[in-house]
Amino acid sequence: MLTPDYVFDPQRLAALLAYNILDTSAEQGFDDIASLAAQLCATPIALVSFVAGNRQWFKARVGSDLCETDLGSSVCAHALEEPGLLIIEDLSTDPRSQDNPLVCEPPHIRFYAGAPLRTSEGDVLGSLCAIDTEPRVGGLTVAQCDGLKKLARQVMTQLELRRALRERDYHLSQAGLAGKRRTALVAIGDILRAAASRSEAIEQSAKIVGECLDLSRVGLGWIDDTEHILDIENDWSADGSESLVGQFELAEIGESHPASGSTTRTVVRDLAASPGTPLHHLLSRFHIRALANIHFRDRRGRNALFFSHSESVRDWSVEDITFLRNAGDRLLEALARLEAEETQNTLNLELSHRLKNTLATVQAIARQTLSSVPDREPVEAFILRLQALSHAHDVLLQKRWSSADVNDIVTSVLGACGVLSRISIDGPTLKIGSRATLSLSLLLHELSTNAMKHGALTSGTGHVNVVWRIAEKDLVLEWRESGGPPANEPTSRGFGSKLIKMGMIGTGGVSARYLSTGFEADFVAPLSQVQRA
Amino acid sequence: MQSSDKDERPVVLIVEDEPILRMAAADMVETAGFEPVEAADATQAVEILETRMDIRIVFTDIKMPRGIDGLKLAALIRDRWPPIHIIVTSGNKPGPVDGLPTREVFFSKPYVESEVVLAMRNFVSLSC
Repeated sequence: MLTPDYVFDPQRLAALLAYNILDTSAEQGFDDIASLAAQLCATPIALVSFVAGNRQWFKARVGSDLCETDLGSSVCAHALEEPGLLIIEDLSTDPRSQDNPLVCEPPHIRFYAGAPLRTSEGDVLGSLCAIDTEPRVGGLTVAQCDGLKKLARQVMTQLELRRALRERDYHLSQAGLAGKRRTALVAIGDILRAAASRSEAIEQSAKIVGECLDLSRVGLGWIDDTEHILDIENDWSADGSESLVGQFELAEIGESHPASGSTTRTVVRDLAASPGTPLHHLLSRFHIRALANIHFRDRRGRNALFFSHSESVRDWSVEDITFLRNAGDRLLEALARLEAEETQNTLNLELSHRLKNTLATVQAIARQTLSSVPDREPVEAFILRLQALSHAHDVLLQKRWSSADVNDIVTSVLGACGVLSRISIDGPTLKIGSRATLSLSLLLHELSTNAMKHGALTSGTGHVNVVWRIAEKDLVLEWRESGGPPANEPTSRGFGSKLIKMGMIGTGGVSARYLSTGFEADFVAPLSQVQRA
Repeated sequence: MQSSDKDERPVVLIVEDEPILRMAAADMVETAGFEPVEAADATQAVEILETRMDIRIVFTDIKMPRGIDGLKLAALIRDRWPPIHIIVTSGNKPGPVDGLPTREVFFSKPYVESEVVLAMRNFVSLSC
């Protein structure tokens, strides 16, 4: 007997598939119902049977070892269209079942009573059936019929409950994933802000993406417009997966040129499903089973490819792709920033080089121009001041010309005078602006030159203490000489003493004392002005 | 100055593309009692090194136009004329990655002439 057409009804089959019940493991709820059905109908066999398009599959079974049969062995297939119950008192005489292998051959079943498993939409998925190996004249009692129908409804309730739980779990896991993706994006932001190099930025952010989505490899490459080459700059790969850093031909990796089409991403669930294509080649060569390639165009118009690989089949969700796009976007922004900093750094070095060369030229011109001057002292003083100015620029260069640390300035200027070993330096870490850096450098140069010429550093035992501190809203710098000859106030007002009187920022704030123990001076300047760029 | 004196003065090759700086360096070297020889770039310096056997010290700028820079010149001299002493000067101090060999002495521009002269005298007395 042919299988009824309704078995192959697409709507029915779709409904069955949607419950996701086929080939799942046994569950107590269904087992209990099958066992109750056997008791109720006093049969040795009872089954919860779902009829698919090519087989019937048993979710629960009592008195049978079969997991499933083909449709030719299915009596249940005939129960689907029954409005009430399908009852066959002797299967060996009924035209629907007399050729059925389960009837003709062992286990030689004879009696069948099946209640359809009907959804609220009216689709019938299978049946709850009670089966005996003896024919049963008169079939079931009225109470048994009623009970079997009620148990069939219970199967449907179990099925609905099962689906509801699955949906809830799905939503919970989606919420969990959303949280995980948000946390990952924050972590990527943190890492990119601190990243000092391009390769570090790429690898660290790729690692976060890869670990968040459980991927095998994530990385960034650049597509050469003319050469049709993908140059993978850096990537992260999970343990056991190889890095793909290097150059690949676009055709070789199944990517088209982004300008040739409107494709901004390539997302593949399963590379094994497309044999014979370039993409399939990725599977055999790099064990890539699923991939998501997202194209970007950076600020300079270059084509970037942010790729994600998985070694297992992967259903990329819309959220996954949005997440990858966000992560790639942030990475490219960070790379643009690093590039701009690098350019700035090169410019700063070039500028510094030219400035120093100009200072050297000024020094050379001065030396040549003043070569005939018999008094060498002012000439040497000029050249040394030029040196002090030059050292101040060195210190500024280290901080991109915007600020400098007081400690660096003091160390640099006094170090250049060669007197660092006889000077104690103490003060907090403090950034000051570029103008104050230049004037403080010249000031310190004059102070140490004077100490070497007339003060504490003329004798072998003399010593200088340099201390700076913040007093309310002022920066205070103290210069204390000791162990040298008594200090005398200078009678003449040379450029050197003028420089000292100008103080730290050229506006005064100087108190100098000429003591028998040595020269002392306090320099005070408002912190806000000192730190102004 | 007598030519006989000249022969005894240690020869210093100055490699500097800025004419004024080159002139000042030559002046400094001569005042210190050395014989200066001038080159405007590394290529010219190599030509001089190939023809004169009496160069004891090379005093070179790093950043120079046309061809090789001062660091490459220093490496070349290390390779072809190992006994020659090298003093390098530049606006920016090169880091170890830039390839300044550790044996070379470096002075930041503008340099203190007395310090450069001292380094030259040390080299000459070492190898005498």
